Amino acid sequence: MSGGRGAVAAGTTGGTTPLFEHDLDLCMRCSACAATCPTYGVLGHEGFSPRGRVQVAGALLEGRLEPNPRSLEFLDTCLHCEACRTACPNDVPVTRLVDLALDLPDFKPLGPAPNRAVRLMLWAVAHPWTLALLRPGLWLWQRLRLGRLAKSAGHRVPWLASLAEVAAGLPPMPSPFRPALPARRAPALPAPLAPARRPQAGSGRVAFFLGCVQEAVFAETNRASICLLQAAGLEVASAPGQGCCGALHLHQGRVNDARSMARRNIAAFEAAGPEWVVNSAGGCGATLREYGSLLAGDPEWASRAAAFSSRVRDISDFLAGLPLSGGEGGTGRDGPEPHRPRSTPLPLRVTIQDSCHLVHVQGVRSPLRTLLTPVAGRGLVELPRPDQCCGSAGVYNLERTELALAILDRKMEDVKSTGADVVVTANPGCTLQLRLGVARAGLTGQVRVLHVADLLWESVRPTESERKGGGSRG
Amino acid sequence: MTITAGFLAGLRDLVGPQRVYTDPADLVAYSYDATWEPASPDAVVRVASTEEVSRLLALAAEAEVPVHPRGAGTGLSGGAVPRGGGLVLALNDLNRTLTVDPADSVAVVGAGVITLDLHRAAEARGLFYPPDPASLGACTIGGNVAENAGGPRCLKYGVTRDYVLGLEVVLAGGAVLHLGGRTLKNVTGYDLVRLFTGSEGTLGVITEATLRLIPQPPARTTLAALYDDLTLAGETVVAIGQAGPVPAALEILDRASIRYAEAYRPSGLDLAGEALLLIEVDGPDSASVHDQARRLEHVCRGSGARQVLVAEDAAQAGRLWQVRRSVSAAIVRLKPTKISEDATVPRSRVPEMIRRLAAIRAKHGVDLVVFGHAGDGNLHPNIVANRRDPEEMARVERAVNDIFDAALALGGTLSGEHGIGLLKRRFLSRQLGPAERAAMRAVKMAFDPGNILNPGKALAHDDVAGEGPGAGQGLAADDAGVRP
Repeated sequence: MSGGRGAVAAGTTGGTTPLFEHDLDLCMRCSACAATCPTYGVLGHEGFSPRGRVQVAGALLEGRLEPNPRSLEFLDTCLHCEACRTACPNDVPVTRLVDLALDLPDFKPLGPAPNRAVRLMLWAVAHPWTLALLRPGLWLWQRLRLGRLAKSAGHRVPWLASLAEVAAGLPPMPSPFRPALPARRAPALPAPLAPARRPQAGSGRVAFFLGCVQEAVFAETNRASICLLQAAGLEVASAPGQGCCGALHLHQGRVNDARSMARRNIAAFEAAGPEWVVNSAGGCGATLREYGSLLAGDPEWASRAAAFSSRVRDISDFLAGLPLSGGEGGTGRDGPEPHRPRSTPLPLRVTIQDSCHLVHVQGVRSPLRTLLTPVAGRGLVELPRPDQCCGSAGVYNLERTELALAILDRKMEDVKSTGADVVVTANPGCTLQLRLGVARAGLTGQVRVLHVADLLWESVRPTESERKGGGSRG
Repeated sequence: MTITAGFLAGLRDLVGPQRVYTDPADLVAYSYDATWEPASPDAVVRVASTEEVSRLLALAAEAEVPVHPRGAGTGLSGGAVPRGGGLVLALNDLNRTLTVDPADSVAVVGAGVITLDLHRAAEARGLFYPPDPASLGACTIGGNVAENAGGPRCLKYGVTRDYVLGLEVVLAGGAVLHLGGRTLKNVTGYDLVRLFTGSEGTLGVITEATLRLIPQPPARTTLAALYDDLTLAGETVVAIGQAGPVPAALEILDRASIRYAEAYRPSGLDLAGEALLLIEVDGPDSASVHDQARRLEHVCRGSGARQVLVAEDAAQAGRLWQVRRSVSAAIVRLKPTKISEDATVPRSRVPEMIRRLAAIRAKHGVDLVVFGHAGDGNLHPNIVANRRDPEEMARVERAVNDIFDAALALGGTLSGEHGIGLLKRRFLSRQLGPAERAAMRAVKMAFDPGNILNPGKALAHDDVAGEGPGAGQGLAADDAGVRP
């Protein structure tokens, strides 16, 4: 369970005994977490390690330390990647303690001015109409090369420059005047490969969660995921009315915004009535799986939210959980039961950057390996620290650009050491960040950054497929 | 002596202002190690070279400022806790040197290198650095040498000191010593390498170590022996010691440890019983390993084991060791404060120590569990309690007191591998007589006459106070003794 700042506030309003005492007591100060923490790795200062943050948060919460800019810096630089939670033998809720301390009223006047880039993004992803404009807007941005302009204005408008840095990793946006994509309101379902077959009752009807940024700028990844599900012999239902998962809002402490987004999504998927809700964004999936706790205090929605969360599965976890196909080909025509689509090896050396909220919050690690081993014709090579954050971390790269880039550059050294042609991720923010890293490391043209579904679909789809747009990914 | 503005200005000139910290938040972050009694320093400084350490110690000696060297702050005796204030000297940036030389089978390692990184670098060349303290993913080589760290594998392979061939050490006035070297044999001059190894940062600051490496044993397997009586497991330890072969690790878990670990993370194996021995053997090939396992199985059965499992594969061995690794986390679910002792007895007295620990648990009504490195007598009795309950903590303190007495009565020692630090110094006089303590005091005064290096650690309070120009500074008025 991740500790979005808002989730914390939600969890502490009821009781009178400070929850933090129990959480603090769990920390034995063994420092098993230190080696997993990207900020400690870059900065080498105890205050930027998980143990340091827990102890500083404890001192603040117990009143032994006054909130000041330095303690704010220690706590606020936490990526919330949850790697420390995986490493901790005692399951200390590090980010919950960090967020609890950051909620202290004395921090409010010390907090950084709300970041304009972040506010703009949170606003843009929350509404269907702004999202509908995002894609044409980005097309215009790319056509007019506004990114260069924004970067050159960086010394005067730093937030714009940091936005431009991240936007540089976007795939080329199609022209809004040549509508190659289905309209936004109808989920982007591709033409089915095989005649849609209705699986037997209870055998796994799925609906696809599109996500906001994922669908707006990585629609191809969603389509690849849906194609893979169909190739697996599954019927993919649409869930009109779905929207942003609310993860960014939750982690920015805007709990009520996140709750209303949760309600909207739950209602949309209840109407579709699937057995599974599959998604292709590790961060979104983690939040969807937390709806149960997010709405636990809401009598009307608590059980509906819990039921919804229990159905959520990441695309790689879902596919790896299917039995291997017995028949030939990967078109989904053989066999009555859903099965894992068959991959043909590609002449690639592949490495995996685990997306934090997929590996550390959802606990999905081996499925990516299972799926990609048959794909990587020139070998699947592990990064030295595959489950360490790349510095993207939601909107962290917009808020703490300098530190995020230091973390990214360290990651790119690791990527170089593997000699990989493709870095696979499982979340849109990671993809953007790593593409920026590839450019910064001078690896453009040598190393592609792809979502796991993109690469899998490359290896699964019929090679003679004449469908356009499928081959231009990356 | 408090730190003056002039001294801080000198530090900032020396290492740059961005590596000297005095903000209260920084001081909290450097106030603790893996024990429970934090103390705030007056300033923290990070150094990145031997030369910086040397110039810093010259400054500190002149200003009579206490200096508390710190590796990764994972120690279990308070060695890096800046009790009494002064300067925390953070050495984790001394991590740029890590060379493995297969021709000489040595590694030259900066003090700030993480132990696991050395393990990996050695393994990449087919070599092996055996010491494996539990914190090896975080702790530093400098800290390992200063504390003479151990770990489960020390039963067969020895402790840190058995691998230190040479050291670079900076003395309190700034002099840099190069001791020992790259040869296995070396009897030129006094063996100061051994003196500094385990000196807990009180004699000098270790900045680099030359360490012996051995060939990697390629094959290993694990056995688990279950008992209906904890003492029988203890007697097996004695029998294995006499009959051989020497296991690579020999760990004991009592009934409570097994139960808590299995409740926390079930292994899927049927491990119900009064005691469990986990035994690892390693060797040059699988035939050797299987032969050792068969002989050890025979010894276990002969000593009363109800059942002996030999791991069928690495996955099952992993599940068995998972039980051992889960114990620490599992028992703090019961009560949050864990007091981990490492009083150690000669191997032959393990069964008797087990009996005495049971009596101590009953006498004081404490939650005492036994899980540890039984093979070398380093039993690690652990007490879990609630540090917010003063009455319970008083009982714990009395129990710990009795544990020390029991270990010493059986010819053992206060600490096997954690060190004396702050936590055990008031018990020191029970093990060391006046003559021994005077000899140690003389050594301390020879190297650190101003008593600026880790003052108050390792030697009992009254052994250092009152001697030398800066003597006694930085020592708390009362000795906290055993606290969680």
